[in-house]
Amino acid sequence: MLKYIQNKLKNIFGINSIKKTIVKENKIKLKKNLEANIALIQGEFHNSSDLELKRMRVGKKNNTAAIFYLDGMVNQTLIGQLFIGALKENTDKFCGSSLEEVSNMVYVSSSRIEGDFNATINALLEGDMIFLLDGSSQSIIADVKGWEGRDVTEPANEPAIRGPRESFVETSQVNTSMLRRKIYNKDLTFETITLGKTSKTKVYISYIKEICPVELYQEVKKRLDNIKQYTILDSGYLEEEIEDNPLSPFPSVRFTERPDTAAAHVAEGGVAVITDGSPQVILLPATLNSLMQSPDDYYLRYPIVSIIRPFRWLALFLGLSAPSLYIALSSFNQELIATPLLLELYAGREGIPYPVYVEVLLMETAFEILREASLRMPQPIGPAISIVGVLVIGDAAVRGGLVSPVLIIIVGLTAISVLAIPNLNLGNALRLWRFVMLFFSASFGLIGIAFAWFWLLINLTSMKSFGVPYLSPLAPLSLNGLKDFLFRLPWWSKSPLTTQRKEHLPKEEGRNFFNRGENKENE
Amino acid sequence: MDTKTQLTWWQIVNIIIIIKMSLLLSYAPIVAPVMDNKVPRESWLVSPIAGTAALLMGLLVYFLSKSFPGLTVFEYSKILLGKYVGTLINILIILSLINIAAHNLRYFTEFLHATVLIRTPTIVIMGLILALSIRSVFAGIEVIGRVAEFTSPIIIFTIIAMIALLSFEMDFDALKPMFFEGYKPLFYQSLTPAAIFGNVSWIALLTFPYLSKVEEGVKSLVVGMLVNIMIVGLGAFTFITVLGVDLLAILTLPAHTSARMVGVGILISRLEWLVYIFWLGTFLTLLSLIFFGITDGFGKTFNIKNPRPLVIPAAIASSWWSFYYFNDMVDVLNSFQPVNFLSHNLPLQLGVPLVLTAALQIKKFLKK
Repeated sequence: MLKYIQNKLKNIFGINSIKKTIVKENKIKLKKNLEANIALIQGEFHNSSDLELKRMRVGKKNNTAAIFYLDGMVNQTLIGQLFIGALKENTDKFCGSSLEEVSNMVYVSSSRIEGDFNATINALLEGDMIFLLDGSSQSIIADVKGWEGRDVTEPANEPAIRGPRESFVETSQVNTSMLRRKIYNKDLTFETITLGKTSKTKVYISYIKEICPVELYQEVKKRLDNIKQYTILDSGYLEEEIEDNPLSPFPSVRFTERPDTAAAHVAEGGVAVITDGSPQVILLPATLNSLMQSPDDYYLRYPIVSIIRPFRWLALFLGLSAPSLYIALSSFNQELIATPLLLELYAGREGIPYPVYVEVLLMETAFEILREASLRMPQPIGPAISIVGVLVIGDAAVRGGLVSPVLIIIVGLTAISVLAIPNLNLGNALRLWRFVMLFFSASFGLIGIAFAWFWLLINLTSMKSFGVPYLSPLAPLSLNGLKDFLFRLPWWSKSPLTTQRKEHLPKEEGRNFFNRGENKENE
Repeated sequence: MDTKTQLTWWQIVNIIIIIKMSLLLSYAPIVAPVMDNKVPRESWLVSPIAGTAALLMGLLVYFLSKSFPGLTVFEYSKILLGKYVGTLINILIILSLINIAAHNLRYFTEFLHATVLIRTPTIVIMGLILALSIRSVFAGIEVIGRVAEFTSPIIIFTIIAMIALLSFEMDFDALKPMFFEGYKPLFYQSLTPAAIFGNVSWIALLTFPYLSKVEEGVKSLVVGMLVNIMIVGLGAFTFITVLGVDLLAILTLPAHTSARMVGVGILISRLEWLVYIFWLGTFLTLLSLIFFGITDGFGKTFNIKNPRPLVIPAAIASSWWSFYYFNDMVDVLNSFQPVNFLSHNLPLQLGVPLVLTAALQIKKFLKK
């Protein structure tokens, strides 16, 4: 009975069918008979309508042949001109009895002969064309990939004032080439693995062999290999599977849509993971410092950057603590505010029927809803709704005596501060922690905020990303790393090696590397 | 892959600095009246005297740790004294640590209750402090080191900034005449601070086994103690010159009073809040390290594979003991009197290292 239920459940989730396919895949080989092969392939695709079959005769002997491709995955011009056209042009020059002969006649730049059925099917799925000849138990796999993809555009989420204006796209081959075009180095390596039993998504692990620590890319590969997901549609699927701290809201994996950022990371000894179908490339390891960096930090002049960066860290502090500080100062620790300012503050709150923390909570909730709505708003009505949200609701709430004008400023300042954080995931983590801060502030005032900050500090110091402490180069201290932390030292002040990740790794703590979900030190 | 936990010498320096700052600057026993309800004018000299004595204690532990690299005191005590006596010594160390934790816990809780969280029950304040410490212990010694490494420079910078701001209020005449009543009051004044500085002994006992290079222990001790001596000496100098010895004789928390005198314009007028927040950080490190030591002690003594969860009963035991032993803030402050404080602290700071060193020397002698 139990087995029956188990089987039923497996059928529901498609586990059995996948297992059967795998078993079947291992056994089937190509036949010598063309019709049998055609039937096999069509059967494998369940006569899917996008599977195109073209029958033809080739060579002097007029041998029957067939080509298969998936509609939309190939460049039909290439097939027409370089394959079929070439065969017709040269029809008198070969007998057409062997695949080697055919292969020599066509003009496609990349082709191979394959006897394995699974490899043939996989090639078809990847956008190659299959040529089958009657009497041959092999096939020609020709690379004629070509599908409609998004053009390379400017990065939408990581804009920069200076520097390159191209972003990754959904096509992994384009992405790998973009990276290759940034680093003309033979040591730049792409290791390809296929993930997802259903989606069979290609994932490229990119690193520079001479610079990247061996443990790092091996660990990345190990974690990716362990992924048991059936479908991988985006790099976001991988993030949760490979990150070190799955319970923390703070990201321990970095994403970028900029090839220059990915190239810089790889050149410093890091690893970039490119997922087919995703314009977001994963960069590993990630530290809080790296998440606070913007591409412009390296394109603008260093004195400007060194002024901007402290403001960004201030924005992090305000994004986390501004509303909770307002609660603490206006409800618990009024003695910290100068009397004239305090009187102004209280005059603004006159008539508001609930305590400050309720007021803050209401405004924060309203803002979060507005923000969420603005993400999904159709573009034409977006600005109109923003005006309604910001001006009408905000102004009406103040006039109606529901919130004080100072609070509007505080919530606005907090929202802008979070937007000043270059990394979206880090900004989201700050939004979450802000509510924790609010709770502690409403309960214990300034001391409560200090408690929450220390709790956060303990959490952040205990985090690691692929062996690198999250708060490095500050804790553990790395003087080399500090050259690119709160301030950026000019390029000419750094030797080339100091920018490399190997140098950033704290040597003394190095023993503890690569224990996923650790913190169980010294057990 | 080796997963042994490691601390850098710099992290130990910061642990030493931060742990001492907690008591030496909050209660300021250097300028607390201990003899005839008076404060000696030359109290600022207590810092180098007490600091030097403590450094010697720390060096004693260093030489002990150097003989057993990578082993904790709970491990080599069994090697030196045998299974049963070693276990007994370990239990005494654990109890001493619980006692020190209880004292500090109650002191800081009462301090917060008396100054800033007046309406919050002490048990709630204690619970919050314990929750942070427990979280730290679960995160491990590396995290305790990193938190100290992160907070210590900020605290030192704030203290120096506050001293600089208070320099406008200093009256150097308050230091004169020096040694008017001889050297005795100064040495008597140094006893409690020596025991507080002497904390370096158990800090070294608990952290040196995790030091990445044990030879760097001396460096961490000397640098940590020098910074402590300078900051605490400077602090005492400021208290005396700003508040005067007569006022100091009746103040319980001179650091708090001094901080309240700092003002920059009309906006920054209550800097003492920064001091509270940083003291929270210092006490957090102090308690985390003690609780880490307790769990480590249990683990190594009774061969418990994962002793971390024991931090919860240890925390409960410490809080219970703190309520059982100290009735109120007066009791806590009385415990800082030299006789009380030394009797509670010296057995662990000096007694344990001396016994173990003696055992080590006898073993070496017998081997010869």
